[in-house]
Amino acid sequence: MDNFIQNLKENKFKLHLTALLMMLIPPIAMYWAAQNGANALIWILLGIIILGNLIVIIVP
Amino acid sequence: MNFILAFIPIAFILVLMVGFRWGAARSGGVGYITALIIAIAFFGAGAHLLALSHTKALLLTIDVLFVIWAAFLLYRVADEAGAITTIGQSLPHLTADKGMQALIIGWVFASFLQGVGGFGVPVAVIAPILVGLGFTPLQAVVIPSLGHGWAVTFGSLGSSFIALMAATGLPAEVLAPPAALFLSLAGPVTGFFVAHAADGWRAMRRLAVPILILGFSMSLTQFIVATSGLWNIGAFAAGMVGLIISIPLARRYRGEQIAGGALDRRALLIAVSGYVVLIAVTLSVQLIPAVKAFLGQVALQVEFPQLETSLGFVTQAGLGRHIAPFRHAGAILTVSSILAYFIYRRAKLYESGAPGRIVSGMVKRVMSSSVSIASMVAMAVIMQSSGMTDTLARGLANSMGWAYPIVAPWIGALGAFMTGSNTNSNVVFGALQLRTAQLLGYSAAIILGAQTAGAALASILAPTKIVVGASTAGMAGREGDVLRKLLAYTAVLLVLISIFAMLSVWLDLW
Repeated sequence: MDNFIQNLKENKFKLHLTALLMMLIPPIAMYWAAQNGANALIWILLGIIILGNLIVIIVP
Repeated sequence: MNFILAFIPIAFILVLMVGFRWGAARSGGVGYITALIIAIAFFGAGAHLLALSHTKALLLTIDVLFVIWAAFLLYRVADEAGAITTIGQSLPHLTADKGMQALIIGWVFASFLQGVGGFGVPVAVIAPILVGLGFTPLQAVVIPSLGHGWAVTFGSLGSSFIALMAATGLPAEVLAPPAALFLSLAGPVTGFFVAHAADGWRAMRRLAVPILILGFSMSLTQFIVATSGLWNIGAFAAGMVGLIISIPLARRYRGEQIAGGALDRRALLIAVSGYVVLIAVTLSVQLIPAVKAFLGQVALQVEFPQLETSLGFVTQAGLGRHIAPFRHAGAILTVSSILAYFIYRRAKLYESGAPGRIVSGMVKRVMSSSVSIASMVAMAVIMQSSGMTDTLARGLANSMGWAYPIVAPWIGALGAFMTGSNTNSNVVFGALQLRTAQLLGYSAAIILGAQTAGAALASILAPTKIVVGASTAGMAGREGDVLRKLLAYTAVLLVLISIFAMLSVWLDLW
């Protein structure tokens, strides 16, 4: 567990960058999905954004 | 019940940041996920609404992040060249009077640094300088913390103010006058507080004249510049004017002996030249109509249809935020950074590998705050379009009534304290304050002015800033002492903003 937390701390920048991209890229496709009524795609993209936020939450 | 549900995301951020000492990024993530779940489960937000809310949030996030990234790039360009150190080391040469040193370095120079950098830079840079001049570590953290608060909204080259515009959709012409007035009135008061923190009541009385001269000059400059459309350089211009006026003032209050060593005027001029470029570029873009029109030809704006929750809350159709990338404050800063880099390079101020260090230092420093802004902006937009913000606003309007202008700055202050920044507070509470003002029939400009002024002045209490200051002054682990010392000063400033806001409403100023 300690090793895992240490790894997260050491890779904080990379994880934050990944999370930021996961928050910023999906909304571009969401606009198209909303215009075309592609609800399933919206939920998938929302999942990616939630995952990005979860990454940020677990990084100490 | 709905009020409590709508308040839960904000309460989570507050509890996690204050109670558990989590950073803004982690707390923002929890706030976002909580807001999303509550919006879907209790406020009837569907896939279509959520998708378009996220697209709106993306545009707002880009708008704010462009300024923050570019502002810090300029700071890194100057810092890597040693310009910040040169300016900081030149100031003690002006006077040996402890009180004047505190005023010039901890107030005027701190305001200048907030104007060009922000993000905790004033305290981090100034605290070690003050320790070197013989101030106690506690004074060294408290003085610049107090000194820069009034310059936060129009500092960081306008990032907090642009966040307020983005969150509320109101233009600078509406928002700038009250915000600039409240902060400009608070400016001289912070000068007296800096003198008090340095040497007690005696210093406040003895240095009343220079405090009033500096305070009046800087406040007036910030007010005029911010309300003339140049809000992105409001605090920067005020700090510049303050530094220029400090030179003759310091001669009248030089103390018993001048600090050793000669002042290197050439080095100081080169150090300042990077920021002179910023003034030149900003003025060219803002004041030359042909340049302004040419750069504004390319613009990004997205049309959004009407949004409706399953419970019937409607957000009207309309155009999203208008972003002109080449005329944007971020573009102005980026161009200024590039020009400043070449000036410093020509002066041979860089060692090899400087560009890499500038960019990597900038990216590393802003990454965490970028993530927190992305999360919190998304949270704020979801709360807005699902009706959660409206529910909160109605609850506040019903419970506060006529007294709301008094409470408005304290809500901004709470946001700044819990999220660590004026920018985040404006993002989280901007729309809520706007909606509450509309429901109560108060001027939105006054209430939002009070929001951002309260947030700016209380941002100095943010645990993240205090931790940075305490660590650079060598008093890590004693952050509680700093917080206790700052609390009383900040409470007085917030009471003043409440009075200014109430008076503005009564006098119907805006």
